Amino acid sequence: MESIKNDNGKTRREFLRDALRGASLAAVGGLVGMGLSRGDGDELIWQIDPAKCTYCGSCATACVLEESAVKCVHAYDICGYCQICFGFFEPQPHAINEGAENQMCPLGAIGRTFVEDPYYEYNVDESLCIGCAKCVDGCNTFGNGSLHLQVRHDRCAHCNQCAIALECPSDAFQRVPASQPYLFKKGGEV
Amino acid sequence: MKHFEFENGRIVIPAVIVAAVIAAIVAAIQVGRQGSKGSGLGSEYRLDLSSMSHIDPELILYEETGNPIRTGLFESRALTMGPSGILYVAGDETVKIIAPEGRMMNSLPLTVSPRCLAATEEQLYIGTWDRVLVVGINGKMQADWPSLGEDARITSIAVDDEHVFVADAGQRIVWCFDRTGRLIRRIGDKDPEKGIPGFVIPSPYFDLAMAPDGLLRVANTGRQLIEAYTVDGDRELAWGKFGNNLEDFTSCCNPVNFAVLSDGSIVTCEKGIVRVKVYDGSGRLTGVVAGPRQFAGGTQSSYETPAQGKQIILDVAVDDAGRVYILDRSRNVVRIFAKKEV
Repeated sequence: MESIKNDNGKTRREFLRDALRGASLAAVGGLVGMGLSRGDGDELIWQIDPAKCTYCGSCATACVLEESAVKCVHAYDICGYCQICFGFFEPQPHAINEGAENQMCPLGAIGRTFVEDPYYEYNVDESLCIGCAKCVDGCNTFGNGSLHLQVRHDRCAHCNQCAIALECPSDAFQRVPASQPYLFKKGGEV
Repeated sequence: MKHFEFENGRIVIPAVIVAAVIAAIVAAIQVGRQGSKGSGLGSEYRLDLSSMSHIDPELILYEETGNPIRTGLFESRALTMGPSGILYVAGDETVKIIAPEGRMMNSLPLTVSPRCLAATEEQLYIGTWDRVLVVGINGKMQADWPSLGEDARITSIAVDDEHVFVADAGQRIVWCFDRTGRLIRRIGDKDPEKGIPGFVIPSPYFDLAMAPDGLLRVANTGRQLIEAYTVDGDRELAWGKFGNNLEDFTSCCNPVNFAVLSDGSIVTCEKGIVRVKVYDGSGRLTGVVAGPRQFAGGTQSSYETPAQGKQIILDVAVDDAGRVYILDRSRNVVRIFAKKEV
Protein backbone atom coordinates (compact mmCIF):
# COMPACT_ATOMS: atom_id res chain seq x y z
CA MET A 1 0.00 0.00 0.00
CA GLU A 2 1.40 3.34 -0.92
CA SER A 3 1.86 5.85 1.94
CA ILE A 4 -0.15 9.01 1.66
CA LYS A 5 2.10 12.04 1.43
CA ASN A 6 1.25 15.67 2.15
CA ASP A 7 2.04 18.54 -0.15
CA ASN A 8 5.62 18.68 1.18
CA GLY A 9 6.19 15.03 0.35
CA LYS A 10 6.15 13.93 4.01
CA THR A 11 4.35 10.87 5.21
CA ARG A 12 2.39 10.92 8.43
CA ARG A 13 5.01 8.80 10.13
CA GLU A 14 7.79 11.15 9.07
CA PHE A 15 5.78 14.14 10.32
CA LEU A 16 5.22 12.59 13.73
CA ARG A 17 8.87 11.60 13.98
CA ASP A 18 10.04 15.15 13.15
CA ALA A 19 7.52 16.64 15.55
CA LEU A 20 8.72 14.38 18.34
CA ARG A 21 12.32 15.34 17.67
CA GLY A 22 11.42 19.03 17.76
CA ALA A 23 9.46 18.69 20.99
CA SER A 24 12.33 16.79 22.61
CA LEU A 25 14.79 19.46 21.58
CA ALA A 26 12.48 22.16 22.99
CA ALA A 27 12.16 20.29 26.28
CA VAL A 28 15.91 19.88 26.59
CA GLY A 29 16.38 23.55 25.79
CA GLY A 30 13.83 24.49 28.41
CA LEU A 31 15.48 22.38 31.06
CA VAL A 32 18.85 23.90 30.26
CA GLY A 33 17.35 27.35 30.47
CA MET A 34 15.77 26.67 33.82
CA GLY A 35 19.00 25.29 35.13
CA LEU A 36 20.92 28.36 34.00
CA SER A 37 18.41 30.73 35.53
CA ARG A 38 18.81 28.99 38.85
CA GLY A 39 22.53 28.91 38.60
CA ASP A 40 22.92 29.98 42.22
CA GLY A 41 21.07 26.85 43.23
CA ASP A 42 18.65 28.75 45.53
CA GLU A 43 15.30 27.04 45.75
CA LEU A 44 12.19 29.20 45.66
CA ILE A 45 9.56 28.85 48.36
CA TRP A 46 6.25 30.50 49.14
CA GLN A 47 5.83 33.44 51.47
CA ILE A 48 3.23 36.07 52.31
CA ASP A 49 3.85 39.74 51.59
CA PRO A 50 2.28 41.37 54.67
CA ALA A 51 1.75 44.61 52.74
CA LYS A 52 -0.69 42.82 50.47
CA CYS A 53 -2.49 40.69 53.03
CA THR A 54 -6.15 41.57 53.55
CA TYR A 55 -6.68 39.32 56.60
CA CYS A 56 -9.30 37.24 54.79
CA GLY A 57 -8.87 34.07 56.85
CA SER A 58 -8.16 31.75 53.94
CA CYS A 59 -4.69 30.89 55.21
CA ALA A 60 -6.31 28.95 58.02
CA THR A 61 -8.33 26.63 55.80
CA ALA A 62 -6.79 26.53 52.35
CA CYS A 63 -3.49 24.91 53.31
CA VAL A 64 -3.17 21.27 52.25
CA LEU A 65 -2.00 20.46 55.77
CA GLU A 66 -4.54 19.76 58.45
CA GLU A 67 -2.93 22.48 60.56
CA SER A 68 -2.01 25.40 58.34
CA ALA A 69 1.64 26.24 57.91
CA VAL A 70 0.69 29.91 58.17
CA LYS A 71 1.07 31.45 61.61
CA CYS A 72 0.81 34.89 63.09
CA VAL A 73 4.17 36.46 63.88
CA HIS A 74 5.00 39.60 65.83
CA ALA A 75 7.27 42.47 64.84
CA TYR A 76 8.21 43.64 68.32
CA ASP A 77 10.05 46.70 67.04
CA ILE A 78 6.78 48.01 65.60
CA CYS A 79 4.60 47.14 68.57
CA GLY A 80 3.54 49.87 70.98
CA TYR A 81 3.34 47.44 73.92
CA CYS A 82 -0.03 48.96 74.72
CA GLN A 83 -1.98 48.05 77.79
CA ILE A 84 -5.09 47.96 75.60
CA CYS A 85 -4.03 46.06 72.52
CA PHE A 86 -6.51 45.18 69.82
CA GLY A 87 -4.53 42.29 68.59
CA PHE A 88 -5.13 40.86 72.04
CA PHE A 89 -8.48 42.34 73.13
CA GLU A 90 -11.82 42.24 71.41
CA PRO A 91 -12.81 45.75 70.20
CA GLN A 92 -15.43 45.98 72.96
CA PRO A 93 -13.99 43.99 75.86
CA HIS A 94 -16.08 43.50 78.96
CA ALA A 95 -13.05 44.33 81.05
CA ILE A 96 -9.37 44.98 80.54
CA ASN A 97 -8.12 41.66 81.81
CA GLU A 98 -6.93 38.38 80.34
CA GLY A 99 -10.32 36.70 80.60
CA ALA A 100 -11.09 34.54 77.59
CA GLU A 101 -14.28 36.47 76.89
CA ASN A 102 -12.22 39.64 76.38
CA GLN A 103 -9.64 38.19 74.04
CA MET A 104 -9.57 38.69 70.31
CA CYS A 105 -8.17 35.24 69.50
CA PRO A 106 -10.85 32.55 69.68
CA LEU A 107 -8.14 30.02 70.53
CA GLY A 108 -6.24 32.04 73.10
CA ALA A 109 -3.09 31.92 70.99
CA ILE A 110 -1.88 35.35 72.08
CA GLY A 111 -0.56 35.84 75.56
CA ARG A 112 0.66 38.91 77.32
CA THR A 113 3.31 39.61 79.91
CA PHE A 114 3.47 42.72 82.08
CA VAL A 115 6.65 44.71 81.46
CA GLU A 116 6.23 47.95 83.43
CA ASP A 117 3.31 50.33 83.84
CA PRO A 118 1.56 50.65 81.40
CA TYR A 119 3.41 48.40 78.96
CA TYR A 120 2.76 44.78 78.08
CA GLU A 121 4.57 42.39 75.79
CA TYR A 122 2.43 40.24 73.49
CA ASN A 123 3.52 36.83 72.24
CA VAL A 124 2.01 34.32 69.84
CA ASP A 125 1.74 30.65 70.78
CA GLU A 126 2.16 29.01 67.37
CA SER A 127 0.93 25.67 68.67
CA LEU A 128 -2.49 27.26 69.11
CA CYS A 129 -2.47 29.69 66.19
CA ILE A 130 -4.33 28.58 63.06
CA GLY A 131 -3.49 31.62 60.92
CA CYS A 132 -7.01 33.04 60.77
CA ALA A 133 -5.66 36.65 60.86
CA LYS A 134 -8.34 38.00 63.18
CA CYS A 135 -5.67 39.44 65.46
CA VAL A 136 -3.79 40.78 62.46
CA ASP A 137 -6.95 42.57 61.39
CA GLY A 138 -7.42 44.09 64.84
CA CYS A 139 -3.78 45.10 65.14
CA ASN A 140 -3.74 46.75 61.73
CA THR A 141 -7.11 48.45 62.17
CA PHE A 142 -6.51 49.88 65.61
CA GLY A 143 -2.78 49.63 66.29
CA ASN A 144 0.61 49.74 64.68
CA GLY A 145 0.21 46.61 62.59
CA SER A 146 2.98 44.64 64.27
CA LEU A 147 1.09 41.35 64.00
CA HIS A 148 1.18 39.74 60.57
CA LEU A 149 1.01 36.34 58.90
CA GLN A 150 3.93 34.34 57.58
CA VAL A 151 4.37 30.85 56.18
CA ARG A 152 6.36 28.88 58.70
CA HIS A 153 8.85 26.78 56.76
CA ASP A 154 9.42 24.26 59.50
CA ARG A 155 5.78 23.33 58.94
CA CYS A 156 5.23 24.04 55.26
CA ALA A 157 5.02 21.10 52.83
CA HIS A 158 6.60 23.24 50.11
CA CYS A 159 4.05 22.39 47.48
CA ASN A 160 5.07 23.36 44.00
CA GLN A 161 1.76 25.16 43.70
CA CYS A 162 0.66 26.51 47.06
CA ALA A 163 -3.03 25.91 47.62
CA ILE A 164 -3.33 29.03 49.77
CA ALA A 165 -1.69 31.12 47.05
CA LEU A 166 -4.40 29.97 44.65
CA GLU A 167 -7.04 31.00 47.16
CA CYS A 168 -5.52 34.32 48.21
CA PRO A 169 -7.77 37.16 47.02
CA SER A 170 -5.04 39.79 47.08
CA ASP A 171 -2.12 37.90 45.49
CA ALA A 172 -0.16 38.26 48.71
CA PHE A 173 1.73 35.02 48.14
CA GLN A 174 4.99 35.21 46.29
CA ARG A 175 8.06 33.09 45.66
CA VAL A 176 11.13 34.00 47.66
CA PRO A 177 14.59 32.43 47.82
CA ALA A 178 14.90 29.70 50.42
CA SER A 179 17.94 31.56 51.75
CA GLN A 180 15.63 34.49 52.65
CA PRO A 181 12.43 32.70 53.56
CA TYR A 182 10.60 35.40 55.51
CA LEU A 183 9.12 38.79 54.71
CA PHE A 184 8.86 40.10 58.24
CA LYS A 185 7.55 43.56 58.88
CA LYS A 186 10.20 45.87 60.23
CA GLY A 187 10.01 49.08 62.19
CA GLY A 188 10.44 52.09 59.99
CA GLU A 189 9.01 55.37 58.97
CA VAL A 190 5.26 55.67 58.87
CA MET B 1 -22.80 2.76 11.82
CA LYS B 2 -21.47 5.95 10.24
CA HIS B 3 -24.93 7.52 10.51
CA PHE B 4 -25.20 6.59 14.21
CA GLU B 5 -21.73 8.00 15.01
CA PHE B 6 -22.56 11.24 13.28
CA GLU B 7 -25.79 11.61 15.31
CA ASN B 8 -23.94 10.81 18.54
CA GLY B 9 -21.39 13.55 17.86
CA ARG B 10 -24.14 16.13 17.60
CA ILE B 11 -25.31 15.27 21.08
CA VAL B 12 -22.03 14.62 22.87
CA ILE B 13 -20.14 17.77 21.97
CA PRO B 14 -22.81 20.25 23.06
CA ALA B 15 -23.39 18.18 26.20
CA VAL B 16 -19.71 18.41 27.07
CA ILE B 17 -19.73 22.17 26.54
CA VAL B 18 -22.80 22.64 28.73
CA ALA B 19 -21.32 20.47 31.45
CA ALA B 20 -18.09 22.50 31.38
CA VAL B 21 -20.01 25.76 31.70
CA ILE B 22 -22.04 24.44 34.62
CA ALA B 23 -18.87 23.23 36.32
CA ALA B 24 -17.27 26.64 35.89
CA ILE B 25 -20.28 28.40 37.39
CA VAL B 26 -20.37 26.03 40.34
CA ALA B 27 -16.63 26.52 40.92
CA ALA B 28 -16.95 30.30 40.78
CA ILE B 29 -19.78 30.31 43.31
CA GLN B 30 -18.04 27.96 45.71
CA VAL B 31 -14.68 29.66 45.62
CA GLY B 32 -15.60 33.19 46.69
CA ARG B 33 -13.12 35.95 45.93
CA GLN B 34 -13.64 37.44 49.34
CA GLY B 35 -11.80 35.60 52.01
CA SER B 36 -14.67 35.69 54.44
CA LYS B 37 -16.70 33.66 52.06
CA GLY B 38 -13.87 31.44 50.98
CA SER B 39 -12.21 30.67 54.31
CA GLY B 40 -15.08 28.64 55.68
CA LEU B 41 -14.33 29.85 59.19
CA GLY B 42 -17.10 30.80 61.58
CA SER B 43 -17.99 34.35 62.51
CA GLU B 44 -15.94 34.14 65.72
CA TYR B 45 -12.83 34.22 63.53
CA ARG B 46 -13.83 37.47 61.84
CA LEU B 47 -13.40 40.98 63.24
CA ASP B 48 -16.80 42.63 63.12
CA LEU B 49 -16.92 46.36 63.78
CA SER B 50 -20.39 47.02 62.41
CA SER B 51 -21.96 47.58 65.84
CA MET B 52 -19.35 50.20 66.65
CA SER B 53 -19.87 52.19 63.49
CA HIS B 54 -23.42 53.30 64.20
CA ILE B 55 -23.94 56.79 65.60
CA ASP B 56 -27.32 58.20 66.61
CA PRO B 57 -28.12 60.75 63.86
CA GLU B 58 -29.35 63.16 66.53
CA LEU B 59 -25.78 63.44 67.78
CA ILE B 60 -24.30 64.35 64.42
CA LEU B 61 -24.30 68.13 64.71
CA TYR B 62 -22.33 68.98 61.60
CA GLU B 63 -22.85 68.59 57.88
CA GLU B 64 -20.37 68.68 55.06
CA THR B 65 -20.36 71.86 53.03
CA GLY B 66 -19.04 72.43 49.55
CA ASN B 67 -16.79 70.09 47.62
CA PRO B 68 -13.72 68.44 49.12
CA ILE B 69 -10.54 70.35 48.38
CA ARG B 70 -7.97 68.20 46.63
CA THR B 71 -4.54 68.75 48.11
CA GLY B 72 -2.77 67.70 44.94
CA LEU B 73 -0.32 65.71 47.03
CA PHE B 74 0.59 62.07 46.75
CA GLU B 75 0.89 61.78 50.52
CA SER B 76 -0.81 64.48 52.59
CA ARG B 77 0.36 64.42 56.19
CA ALA B 78 -0.77 67.43 58.20
CA LEU B 79 -3.14 70.36 58.19
CA THR B 80 -3.12 73.64 60.05
CA MET B 81 -5.17 76.82 60.00
CA GLY B 82 -3.26 80.06 59.73
CA PRO B 83 -4.39 83.62 60.29
CA SER B 84 -7.15 84.96 58.04
CA GLY B 85 -8.54 81.50 57.43
CA ILE B 86 -5.70 80.33 55.22
CA LEU B 87 -5.16 76.57 55.24
CA TYR B 88 -1.75 74.95 55.07
CA VAL B 89 -1.35 71.31 54.08
CA ALA B 90 2.00 69.57 54.45
CA GLY B 91 2.89 66.48 52.45
CA ASP B 92 5.36 64.98 49.98
CA GLU B 93 8.15 67.60 50.03
CA THR B 94 5.97 70.68 49.93
CA VAL B 95 3.45 72.82 51.73
CA LYS B 96 0.24 73.72 49.94
CA ILE B 97 -1.42 77.02 50.75
CA ILE B 98 -5.18 77.14 50.31
CA ALA B 99 -7.38 80.24 50.40
CA PRO B 100 -10.49 80.30 52.59
CA GLU B 101 -12.75 79.71 49.60
CA GLY B 102 -10.82 76.56 48.69
CA ARG B 103 -8.65 77.97 45.92
CA MET B 104 -5.07 76.71 45.79
CA MET B 105 -2.99 79.85 46.34
CA ASN B 106 0.58 78.68 46.37
CA SER B 107 2.91 75.77 46.88
CA LEU B 108 6.13 75.99 48.88
CA PRO B 109 8.71 73.45 47.70
CA LEU B 110 10.95 71.96 50.37
CA THR B 111 13.92 69.64 50.30
CA VAL B 112 12.64 67.62 53.24
CA SER B 113 9.46 65.73 54.08
CA PRO B 114 7.27 67.84 56.36
CA ARG B 115 5.42 65.94 59.07
CA CYS B 116 3.56 68.76 60.83
CA LEU B 117 3.35 72.52 60.81
CA ALA B 118 2.05 75.63 62.53
CA ALA B 119 1.42 79.03 60.98
CA THR B 120 1.65 82.56 62.31
CA GLU B 121 1.16 85.86 60.49
CA GLU B 122 4.63 85.78 59.04
CA GLN B 123 6.12 82.38 59.52
CA LEU B 124 5.60 78.66 59.10
CA TYR B 125 7.08 76.32 61.66
CA ILE B 126 7.56 73.04 59.84
CA GLY B 127 8.44 69.83 61.64
CA THR B 128 10.43 67.08 59.95
CA TRP B 129 11.05 63.87 61.83
CA ASP B 130 13.78 65.33 64.01
CA ARG B 131 13.92 69.09 63.70
CA VAL B 132 12.05 72.30 63.07
CA LEU B 133 12.40 74.56 60.05
CA VAL B 134 11.24 78.14 60.15
CA VAL B 135 10.09 79.39 56.77
CA GLY B 136 8.72 82.79 55.90
CA ILE B 137 5.26 82.96 54.39
CA ASN B 138 7.01 84.03 51.19
CA GLY B 139 8.83 80.70 51.17
CA LYS B 140 12.23 81.93 52.30
CA MET B 141 14.04 79.68 54.75
CA GLN B 142 14.71 81.60 57.93
CA ALA B 143 16.05 79.03 60.37
CA ASP B 144 16.87 75.36 60.64
CA TRP B 145 16.86 74.38 64.29
CA PRO B 146 19.21 71.67 65.56
CA SER B 147 18.14 68.05 65.46
CA LEU B 148 16.35 66.78 68.54
CA GLY B 149 18.17 63.48 68.25
CA GLU B 150 17.94 60.30 66.22
CA ASP B 151 15.07 59.06 68.36
CA ALA B 152 13.01 62.19 67.74
CA ARG B 153 9.71 61.91 65.89
CA ILE B 154 8.14 65.36 65.70
CA THR B 155 4.41 65.06 65.17
CA SER B 156 2.90 68.43 66.11
CA ILE B 157 3.82 72.06 66.63
CA ALA B 158 1.94 74.86 68.39
CA VAL B 159 2.94 78.48 68.66
CA ASP B 160 1.92 81.31 70.98
CA ASP B 161 3.32 84.81 71.31
CA GLU B 162 6.51 83.70 73.03
CA HIS B 163 6.82 79.97 72.69
CA VAL B 164 7.02 77.15 70.19
CA PHE B 165 5.83 73.81 71.53
CA VAL B 166 7.00 70.70 69.74
CA ALA B 167 5.46 67.27 70.34
CA ASP B 168 8.05 64.51 69.99
CA ALA B 169 6.42 61.06 69.79
CA GLY B 170 9.73 59.28 69.57
CA GLN B 171 11.00 60.60 72.90
CA ARG B 172 7.50 61.01 74.39
CA ILE B 173 8.04 64.60 75.43
CA VAL B 174 6.93 68.11 74.56
CA TRP B 175 9.77 70.50 73.88
CA CYS B 176 9.22 74.16 74.75
CA PHE B 177 11.33 76.66 72.78
CA ASP B 178 11.28 80.41 72.51
CA ARG B 179 10.56 81.85 69.07
CA THR B 180 14.28 81.96 68.24
CA GLY B 181 14.68 78.23 68.81
CA ARG B 182 16.33 78.36 72.21
CA LEU B 183 15.21 75.40 74.31
CA ILE B 184 13.47 76.51 77.49
CA ARG B 185 12.21 73.31 79.09
CA ARG B 186 10.77 69.85 78.62
CA ILE B 187 7.08 69.35 79.38
CA GLY B 188 5.50 66.07 80.38
CA ASP B 189 8.35 64.17 82.00
CA LYS B 190 6.99 61.60 84.44
CA ASP B 191 6.90 63.15 87.91
CA PRO B 192 4.66 61.43 90.47
CA GLU B 193 5.17 64.24 92.99
CA LYS B 194 3.73 66.74 90.56
CA GLY B 195 1.02 64.34 89.42
CA ILE B 196 2.48 63.98 85.95
CA PRO B 197 2.11 60.36 84.79
CA GLY B 198 4.21 60.81 81.68
CA PHE B 199 3.23 60.46 78.06
CA VAL B 200 2.44 57.05 76.64
CA ILE B 201 2.75 57.30 72.88
CA PRO B 202 2.55 53.85 71.22
CA SER B 203 2.28 55.18 67.66
CA PRO B 204 3.52 58.25 65.78
CA TYR B 205 0.44 60.34 66.56
CA PHE B 206 0.97 62.90 69.28
CA ASP B 207 -0.84 66.20 68.93
CA LEU B 208 -0.93 69.45 70.85
CA ALA B 209 -2.54 72.88 70.56
CA MET B 210 -2.82 76.12 72.48
CA ALA B 211 -6.26 76.81 73.91
CA PRO B 212 -7.88 80.21 74.48
CA ASP B 213 -7.42 79.80 78.24
CA GLY B 214 -3.64 79.90 77.78
CA LEU B 215 -3.13 76.24 78.63
CA LEU B 216 -1.42 73.86 76.26
CA ARG B 217 -3.59 70.90 75.38
CA VAL B 218 -1.73 67.66 74.69
CA ALA B 219 -3.15 64.30 73.58
CA ASN B 220 -1.69 61.58 75.79
CA THR B 221 -2.86 58.92 73.36
CA GLY B 222 -1.74 55.79 75.14
CA ARG B 223 -3.73 56.83 78.19
CA GLN B 224 -6.66 58.10 76.06
CA LEU B 225 -6.40 61.53 77.71
CA ILE B 226 -6.45 65.17 76.73
CA GLU B 227 -4.16 66.90 79.22
CA ALA B 228 -3.68 70.60 79.91
CA TYR B 229 -0.31 72.04 80.88
CA THR B 230 0.85 75.51 81.75
CA VAL B 231 3.76 76.87 79.75
CA ASP B 232 5.84 76.19 82.85
CA GLY B 233 5.07 72.51 82.61
CA ASP B 234 2.50 72.09 85.38
CA ARG B 235 -0.30 69.62 84.64
CA GLU B 236 -3.55 71.40 85.36
CA LEU B 237 -6.24 68.99 84.25
CA ALA B 238 -6.92 65.88 82.21
CA TRP B 239 -10.00 64.14 80.84
CA GLY B 240 -10.86 61.16 78.66
CA LYS B 241 -10.87 57.42 78.99
CA PHE B 242 -10.89 54.23 77.01
CA GLY B 243 -14.27 52.68 76.48
CA ASN B 244 -16.96 51.33 74.20
CA ASN B 245 -19.30 54.30 74.52
CA LEU B 246 -19.42 57.14 72.06
CA GLU B 247 -18.01 59.59 74.60
CA ASP B 248 -14.98 57.40 75.17
CA PHE B 249 -11.88 56.87 73.05
CA THR B 250 -11.42 53.50 71.40
CA SER B 251 -8.24 51.78 70.32
CA CYS B 252 -4.88 51.62 72.00
CA CYS B 253 -4.00 55.22 71.23
CA ASN B 254 -6.50 57.99 70.59
CA PRO B 255 -7.23 60.79 69.79
CA VAL B 256 -4.65 60.88 67.03
CA ASN B 257 -5.27 64.56 66.29
CA PHE B 258 -7.38 67.39 67.67
CA ALA B 259 -8.08 71.10 67.30
CA VAL B 260 -9.38 73.74 69.69
CA LEU B 261 -12.37 75.91 68.82
CA SER B 262 -12.52 79.56 69.81
CA ASP B 263 -14.85 78.75 72.74
CA GLY B 264 -12.40 76.21 74.12
CA SER B 265 -14.23 73.18 72.77
CA ILE B 266 -12.05 70.42 71.41
CA VAL B 267 -12.56 68.57 68.12
CA THR B 268 -10.95 65.12 68.21
CA CYS B 269 -10.08 62.61 65.48
CA GLU B 270 -9.86 58.89 66.21
CA LYS B 271 -8.37 55.97 64.30
CA GLY B 272 -9.70 52.43 64.30
CA ILE B 273 -13.32 53.49 64.53
CA VAL B 274 -12.81 56.59 62.40
CA ARG B 275 -14.83 59.46 63.80
CA VAL B 276 -14.59 63.15 64.64
CA LYS B 277 -16.21 64.35 67.84
CA VAL B 278 -16.60 67.59 69.79
CA TYR B 279 -16.08 67.92 73.54
CA ASP B 280 -16.49 70.99 75.69
CA GLY B 281 -13.56 72.32 77.69
CA SER B 282 -14.25 70.02 80.62
CA GLY B 283 -14.33 66.92 78.47
CA ARG B 284 -18.06 66.41 78.11
CA LEU B 285 -19.10 65.11 74.69
CA THR B 286 -21.30 67.64 72.94
CA GLY B 287 -21.69 66.00 69.56
CA VAL B 288 -20.22 64.38 66.49
CA VAL B 289 -18.83 66.04 63.39
CA ALA B 290 -18.55 62.93 61.26
CA GLY B 291 -18.84 59.20 61.88
CA PRO B 292 -17.19 56.11 60.40
CA ARG B 293 -19.71 55.74 57.61
CA GLN B 294 -18.69 59.08 56.23
CA PHE B 295 -15.18 57.92 55.51
CA ALA B 296 -14.44 55.36 52.82
CA GLY B 297 -13.35 52.19 54.53
CA GLY B 298 -14.14 53.66 57.92
CA THR B 299 -16.13 50.66 59.00
CA GLN B 300 -14.57 47.84 57.15
CA SER B 301 -12.77 45.05 58.85
CA SER B 302 -12.26 42.88 55.80
CA TYR B 303 -11.02 44.18 52.53
CA GLU B 304 -10.83 43.27 48.92
CA THR B 305 -7.65 45.18 48.32
CA PRO B 306 -4.74 46.09 50.58
CA ALA B 307 -5.41 49.78 49.92
CA GLN B 308 -8.81 49.49 51.55
CA GLY B 309 -7.23 48.03 54.64
CA LYS B 310 -4.79 50.86 55.11
CA GLN B 311 -5.43 52.63 58.37
CA ILE B 312 -7.33 55.89 57.97
CA ILE B 313 -5.74 58.76 59.84
CA LEU B 314 -7.42 62.15 59.89
CA ASP B 315 -6.03 65.55 60.78
CA VAL B 316 -8.21 68.48 61.76
CA ALA B 317 -8.19 72.26 61.87
CA VAL B 318 -10.85 74.81 62.73
CA ASP B 319 -11.51 78.39 61.72
CA ASP B 320 -12.82 81.35 63.72
CA ALA B 321 -16.36 80.71 62.45
CA GLY B 322 -16.35 77.24 63.99
CA ARG B 323 -16.05 75.33 60.74
CA VAL B 324 -14.14 72.06 60.96
CA TYR B 325 -11.63 71.13 58.27
CA ILE B 326 -10.75 67.45 58.10
CA LEU B 327 -7.74 66.21 56.17
CA ASP B 328 -8.58 62.77 54.86
CA ARG B 329 -5.07 61.46 54.22
CA SER B 330 -6.23 58.32 52.47
CA ARG B 331 -7.94 60.38 49.74
CA ASN B 332 -5.73 63.47 49.90
CA VAL B 333 -8.66 65.84 50.32
CA VAL B 334 -9.74 68.43 52.85
CA ARG B 335 -13.39 68.17 53.76
CA ILE B 336 -15.23 71.05 55.36
CA PHE B 337 -17.97 70.63 57.94
CA ALA B 338 -20.19 73.31 59.38
CA LYS B 339 -22.64 73.15 62.22
CA LYS B 340 -26.16 72.34 61.13
CA GLU B 341 -28.76 75.07 61.36
CA VAL B 342 -30.95 74.35 64.39
